[in-house]
Amino acid sequence: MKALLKYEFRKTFAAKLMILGIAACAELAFLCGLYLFGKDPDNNVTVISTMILFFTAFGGVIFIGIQSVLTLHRDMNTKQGYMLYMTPRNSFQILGAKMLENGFSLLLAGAFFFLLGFLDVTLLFQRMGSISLLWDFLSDMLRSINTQITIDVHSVLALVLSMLASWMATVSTAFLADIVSAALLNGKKYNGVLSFLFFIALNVLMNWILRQFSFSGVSAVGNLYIESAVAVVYAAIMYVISALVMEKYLSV
Amino acid sequence: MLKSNQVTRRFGNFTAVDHVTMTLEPGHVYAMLGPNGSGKTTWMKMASGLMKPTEGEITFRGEVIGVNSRRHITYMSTEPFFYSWMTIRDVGKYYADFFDDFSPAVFDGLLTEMELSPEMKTRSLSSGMAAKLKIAATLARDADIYILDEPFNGIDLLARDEIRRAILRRAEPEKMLILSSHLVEEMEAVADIAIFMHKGKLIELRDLEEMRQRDGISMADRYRQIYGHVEVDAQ
Amino acid sequence: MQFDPMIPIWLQVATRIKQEIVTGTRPPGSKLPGGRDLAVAYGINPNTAARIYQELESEGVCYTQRGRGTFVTESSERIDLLRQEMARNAVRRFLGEIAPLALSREVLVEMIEKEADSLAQK
Repeated sequence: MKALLKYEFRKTFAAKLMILGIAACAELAFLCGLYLFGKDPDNNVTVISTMILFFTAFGGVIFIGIQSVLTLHRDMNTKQGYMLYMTPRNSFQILGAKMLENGFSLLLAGAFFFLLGFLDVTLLFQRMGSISLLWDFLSDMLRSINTQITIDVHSVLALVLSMLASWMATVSTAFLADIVSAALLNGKKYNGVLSFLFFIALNVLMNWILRQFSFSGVSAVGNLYIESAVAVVYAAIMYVISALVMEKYLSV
Repeated sequence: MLKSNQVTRRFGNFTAVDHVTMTLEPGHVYAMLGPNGSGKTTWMKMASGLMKPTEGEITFRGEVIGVNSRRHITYMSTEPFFYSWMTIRDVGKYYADFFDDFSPAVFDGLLTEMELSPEMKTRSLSSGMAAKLKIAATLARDADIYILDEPFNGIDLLARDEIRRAILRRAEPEKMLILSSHLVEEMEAVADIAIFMHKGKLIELRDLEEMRQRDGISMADRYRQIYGHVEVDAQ
Repeated sequence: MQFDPMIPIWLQVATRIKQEIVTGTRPPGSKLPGGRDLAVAYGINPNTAARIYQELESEGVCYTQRGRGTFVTESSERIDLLRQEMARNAVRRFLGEIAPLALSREVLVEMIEKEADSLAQK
């Protein structure tokens, strides 16, 4: 398992390095804009670099999220898959390593960009001379995500947890759809369309299930925890089905 | 002992391997022969556990081919399959990480013998070098069965001698080697039993020295007899 | 070594080794390579290599000492016999080849002597 995890990280390393590189360049531009180009934080360099940073953070986290689906697809549909499937590791281990890597990378990337954003916003407001504005800004931002949430560590954690859990559920659904495509529909007509429809259907099902577990008598944070737990269970079921299909039917 | 029992593999309407039944024993070098599309690669992939039969099964020491048999059976495909970000040294590390029977010392020895430098990137290798690297990584394992698909493909005459020597050094009495090649002459002296396949079906298994002694014909002669006017694609 | 794929490989390698013994390339009592080494050196199957030593041993041309390896026979009589046998085979092959030309025995002998003289002069 350790070896599988190591190589899942290694396979996605180049792309992560690139995202980090872009973020570093934009951050450098941001700092330059903030401290070198006059007192006015409204200068073009700061504005553009802030935008780039924002899109890198957003796009980077999304890309890292779907990257495991892309590598799984490559591992099942190209010659490099021999590398993975010739090892004495079963499908549960192979898929497990992919999901763990994905969850961990996502968490790391999320934390990284969150801290970077936090740092930059702090610097920006400090430069503008009004640090108190920062907290208003953050509260506004969180309120725009969920109106019932007030800013405290507990709710932020619950929110992060639920986002990660529902992402894992989505990734495991994508895994299953891609595995079904490669293992069962391989060479068949409309393979791509069918597996995509399958993916959509599973997502609709997942959302429906999640809705069944939203209770009016429970606090917003409580509902987030329940939702997270349901998403994790759903992801686990998808994982087991995926691994079983892969073990029994996949040919590379 | 490797048993193929009524093994069949279909791709849609096309039957790549058609009810192949045979028993292969350790201590032999098998030459799997047949024109392109006769099912050699598909059978080899099934024996390595990379592909699942549509019908029938292959067993190794009584156990159906699967995750566990990958510990004992090593497969080398015709095409290069290493991750493009790897250096030759990374390939060795990868094998060492996953296979208990992999010997880094044997791997290094083979690299030296084949004049491959560990720092080279796999994606920058010439086809001949890539073929040598595949051989080195595969043969550095101390496996029970070596399945090599077209080990002489795309390799010049001198390198072929090196590869033949490396393969023969692994041909120990308790090991089994299965090689496929469209270069039939290349296999004459190396193999002792030929497996002739045609259109997915097993035609026959022949002991080559016995055939030369009794019938006075070579493996290539028998190949011509079996496939006759069948167009032999030289790739 | 180039093989004729229509003739058993073991026979071809065994003949080669016998030639080397007769010509002294492999002196009496010298150690022969192990079966696996022989296979690698000649690029032949190990079972074929094992067969070669079996045959050479059964003919008394070499012998195996447990744990030490296979050696060329030390008996000069056996090597002489091998020489004669190989010479006889060569003569038979030659006669077989020349037979269709229907030369008389006298002409043939004369021809051989003449060729042998000119070879000796070189």
